[in-house]
Amino acid sequence: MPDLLDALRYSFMQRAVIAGSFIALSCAVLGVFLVLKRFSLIGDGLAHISFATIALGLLLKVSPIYLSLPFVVGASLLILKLVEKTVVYGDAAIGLLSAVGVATGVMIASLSGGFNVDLFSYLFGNILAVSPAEVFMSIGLSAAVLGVITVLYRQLVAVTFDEEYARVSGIRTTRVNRILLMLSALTVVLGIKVVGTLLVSSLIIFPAITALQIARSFKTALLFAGLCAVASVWCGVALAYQLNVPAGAAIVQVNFLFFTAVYAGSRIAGARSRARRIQAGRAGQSPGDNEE
Amino acid sequence: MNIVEVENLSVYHQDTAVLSGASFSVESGDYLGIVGPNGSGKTTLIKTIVGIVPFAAGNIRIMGEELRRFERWSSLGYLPQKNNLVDPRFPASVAEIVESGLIATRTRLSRRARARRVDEALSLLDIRDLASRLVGRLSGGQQQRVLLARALVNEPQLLFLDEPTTALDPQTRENFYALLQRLNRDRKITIMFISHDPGAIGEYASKLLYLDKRVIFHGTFDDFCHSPEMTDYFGSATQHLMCHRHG
Repeated sequence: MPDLLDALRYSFMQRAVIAGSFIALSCAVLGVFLVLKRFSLIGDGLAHISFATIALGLLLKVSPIYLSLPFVVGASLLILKLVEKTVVYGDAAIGLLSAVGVATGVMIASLSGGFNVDLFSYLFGNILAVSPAEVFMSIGLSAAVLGVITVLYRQLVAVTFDEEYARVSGIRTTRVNRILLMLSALTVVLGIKVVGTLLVSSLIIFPAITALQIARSFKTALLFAGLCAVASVWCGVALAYQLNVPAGAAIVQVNFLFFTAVYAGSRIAGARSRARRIQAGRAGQSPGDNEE
Repeated sequence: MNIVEVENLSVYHQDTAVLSGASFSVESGDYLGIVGPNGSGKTTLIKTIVGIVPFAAGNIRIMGEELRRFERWSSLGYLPQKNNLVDPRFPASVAEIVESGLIATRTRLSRRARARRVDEALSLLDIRDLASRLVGRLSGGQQQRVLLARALVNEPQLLFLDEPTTALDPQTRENFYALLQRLNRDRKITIMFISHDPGAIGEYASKLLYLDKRVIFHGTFDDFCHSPEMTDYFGSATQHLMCHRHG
């Protein structure tokens, strides 16, 4: 542990923890909405699309992140359009654009003379190489994402729970869905630096499904998901430093560990609670269960 | 005063007509029962009136305003047809779901006012003790009451109910009908109610709308019960069931 605290004196470690925390927090909060809307694979799809824009950026010698932002946001809107117009199912729309993204990326990489180290770092992420400018961009965009979610919180919850009812309440559901997907696209592009295109969807899915095991309300689900995401970045970076393994992969493994622990814990707690109710029932006491 | 006016309404799904030239009006304070066979356009009619389904031709006015210009969404309550239970993993408490109904209100309510409205709606449906429970962990009947509480939290003038009793046991169903009758009688809430149960419609509704892709009958039960044309259409047994319960 003292080694880890010592490591935080390095500016690259500070940048990694700060940028990673903000990005993971945005991914986790958005993830709760996306997972519940059965759109959790959007992160995977958008990340694969960004693979093409990253390859293009490297070919044109333009910052891949800046180039990816408009393209991936556009792709997210295209996916939504395909689903809204019932041209294809949601998962098929994601799969379709995802495959085109990867194929385009491979072709561009091939035309540019094959895969190189830069492209590899975008595939698996390199949080320890986050630049000061990227830290500011991460903080700014994450703050924007969290700000929009705070402002639209009630609309987002209503649309996530029951889209038809939300429309009858006068909510412009199409606009809310568009904003949700555009925010997802922004966070996915930012998340690529942390864990890479192949693993970025884990930042969206893991904290959300971990939180959903134990949350008793929507707000606590968002809180748990956020805490879980930030803790996974800190633990993942620490693990990477100690074991000298890639930080992105370590963050994903920590996330998986959190999910397994929470899932097992909630199952054990549920079994104990059921056993107590059965015991109370046998003893002739009211089980206190309101279910009909 | 007409609270809903539907004129010559036609709705298509892809190229198939789901409703053709439907015209009727609902007066303030009516309790309108909507019946018809499967695929007759009942749900489509309600969804079109509340703006979920677009229509190809005709006109809809709610509270005197054309649907496309209608803004007073908090005056409407809607209980959608419920084919599935809420996802048990959905992390929303009963209070949160009921409170989500307040989103339609344009006036800014204080936290205390919101909590009071939610509490009143929960009390009305007798589910106050469930406020902190996860909605997905409740039984079908309890979930139905939560969704009705959400529809009532804005104290609406007009309530749309699409087969609301399918998940309910007979006793809860009777209580539910009695509650709707109280809302209609005491709070003067206009109700448009789809049901497959002609007996219940006959017992509780004040007017009847029979659909079969078009309006077959719209009027009072007296007119319906004394119409030889309707006897021919429905058969005397069904007509008798509805008229007997209404009496």
